[in-house]
Amino acid sequence: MLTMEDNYSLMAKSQEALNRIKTIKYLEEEEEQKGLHPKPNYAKMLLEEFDEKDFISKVERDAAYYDVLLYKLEESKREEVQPIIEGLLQVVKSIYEHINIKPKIYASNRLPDKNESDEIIHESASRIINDYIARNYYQLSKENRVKTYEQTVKSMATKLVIEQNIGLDEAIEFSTKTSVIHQLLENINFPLVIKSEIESSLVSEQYAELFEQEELVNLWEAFKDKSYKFARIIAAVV
Amino acid sequence: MINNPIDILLIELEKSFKNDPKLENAIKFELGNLVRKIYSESINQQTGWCMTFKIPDVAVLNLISKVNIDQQKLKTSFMSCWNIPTNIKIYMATNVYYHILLLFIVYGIRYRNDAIVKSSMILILCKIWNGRRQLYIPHCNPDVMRYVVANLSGKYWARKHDSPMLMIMNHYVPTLLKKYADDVKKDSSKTKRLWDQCWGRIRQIFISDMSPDIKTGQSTGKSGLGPLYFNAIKDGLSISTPKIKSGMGDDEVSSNMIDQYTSHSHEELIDNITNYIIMNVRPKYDQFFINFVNKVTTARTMQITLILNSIHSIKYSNYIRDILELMFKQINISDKAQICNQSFLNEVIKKKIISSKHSKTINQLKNITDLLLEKIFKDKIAYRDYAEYSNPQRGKLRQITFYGFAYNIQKHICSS
Repeated sequence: MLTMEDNYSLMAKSQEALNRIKTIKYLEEEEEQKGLHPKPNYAKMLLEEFDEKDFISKVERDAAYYDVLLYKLEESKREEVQPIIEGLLQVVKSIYEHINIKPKIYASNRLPDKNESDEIIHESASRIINDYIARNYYQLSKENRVKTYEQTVKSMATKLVIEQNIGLDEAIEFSTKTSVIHQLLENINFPLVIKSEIESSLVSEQYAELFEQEELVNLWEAFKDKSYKFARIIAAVV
Repeated sequence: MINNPIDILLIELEKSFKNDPKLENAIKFELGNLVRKIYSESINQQTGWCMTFKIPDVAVLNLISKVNIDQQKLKTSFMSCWNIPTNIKIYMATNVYYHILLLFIVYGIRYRNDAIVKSSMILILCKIWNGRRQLYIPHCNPDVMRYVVANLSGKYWARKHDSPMLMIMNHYVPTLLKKYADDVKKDSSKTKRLWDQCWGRIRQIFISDMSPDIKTGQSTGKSGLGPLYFNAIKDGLSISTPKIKSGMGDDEVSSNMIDQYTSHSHEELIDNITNYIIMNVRPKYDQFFINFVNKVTTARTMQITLILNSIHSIKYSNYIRDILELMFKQINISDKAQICNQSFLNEVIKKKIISSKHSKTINQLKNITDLLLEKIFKDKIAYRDYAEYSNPQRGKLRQITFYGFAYNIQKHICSS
């Protein structure tokens, strides 16, 4: 049990700590007001640099997601998809290298340890993907789906109706599923924090001053193109 | 049992001091007096860094008999302890002037008589200064020398002191004692090392970066006051156009010291490369290299050139030196051929520096490079502050810097 003396001592220590924090804060504010030190972006400081080993590790972990996506495809289709995945990974690597950020793994907190059996890993990856598709497609009402995907789906559905003579509902359904898978692929390859960094680099003037932004734009376009092709194939079996 | 002849002399010296209690103090005052005379005489000189000191040779030699030591014995004791053949006559280390002062130094270190130690060190260094100055710049023009010293980089101690005397007293004496006093205290034969270091450090002021002359085959120095002085005379450079080394594309014969990777030559090599970078105020990087950096960092070529060119400034000499030292430590290469190999940038630098993470050396290297880049952005790329960039973006800027340094290392070491 704490005595009165202990309490006073604790209170004194807390007061000291509080005063220290206040002083530091005051000095920082003062420096900031004087414009001595521009405020560094601490969130950006936490981002780590690209590392080849981390990328290899990411590819190994992402393989579980690709296995799940390819699971329902016929053997012949899988062979067709293989070069697309390889090309996709090359572009993904180039993007990571370009922005120089340590690769991250999608839903890493829900994936079991890499030393676990393939079965357990596959099960978890399957659950993550199914949850995603359910949340973004099956659990949405028709109206909500239209609302959410209208912009991205419109042109593709129209094209399908005109060029391939597919019914409107079927075209919309396929286009929406493609869009959902496309978004999923983007998340797998570039989890949120990475994606936001890429998107800011794509339009940032500051980035353009220093780096080959156009090259990044081209890489991003190439990624979109390849992942879209892949998504179309997968959407047919989802 | 004492086998070391210097220790035997030391016992004799102690005996003399014990027999005459006032003698130690008298020697202390005498040495101090000699230093004061040299100092006041040096102040009155108008020769600046061309200065030669009035060395009190006779007065110092008189001290030998004052402490009842036989001059011949003093000489043979030091020569035998230092393993110098007795038939060598001209060798500076055979001069009893140095021997008696070194004996005082050993005594002073062991018996904590700092005044004796410091005065003796100053007297030794002043005499060495005179010899090197007269050898490397026999007819020294004070005006030319003033120009040379005014345009020296920050790494030269000469730039940081007002006169050779002050440099000796305030820099070389404390530095050398700090480094070698303990060794001398334990083993008096280490006086040879102390003396060598005194000689080497003073010589280094006048000449360093030794390499063979292609025409004559003789070794000549590329930096130090000597070559800089003659370059200044030859090129007729005015004070407003500091230019000591030529551009990077030229045939610069550089150090081959890297093959003999002693710590001294290592330090000298780093000094020379630092010098090479900061003296080259208008560098011209090969387009091939710039394209390579552009490819691996995705930074724009214009910005790469801007950053790399900005590094070449005397203002950043301390950062440059530290970065070079850490880079050498990290790549851990002692073979010139490996540095001059085409794969140096792509393999060695990429693997050992760019891709290496979380080691103490790498973290230090990153921190110092960040400080350098922060300064460069503040001084030369004023429209942006380095703090605005994210860590990954800074990483790329650091990569540019590392490749730039590696390029200069290669140019300096391999261009001969």
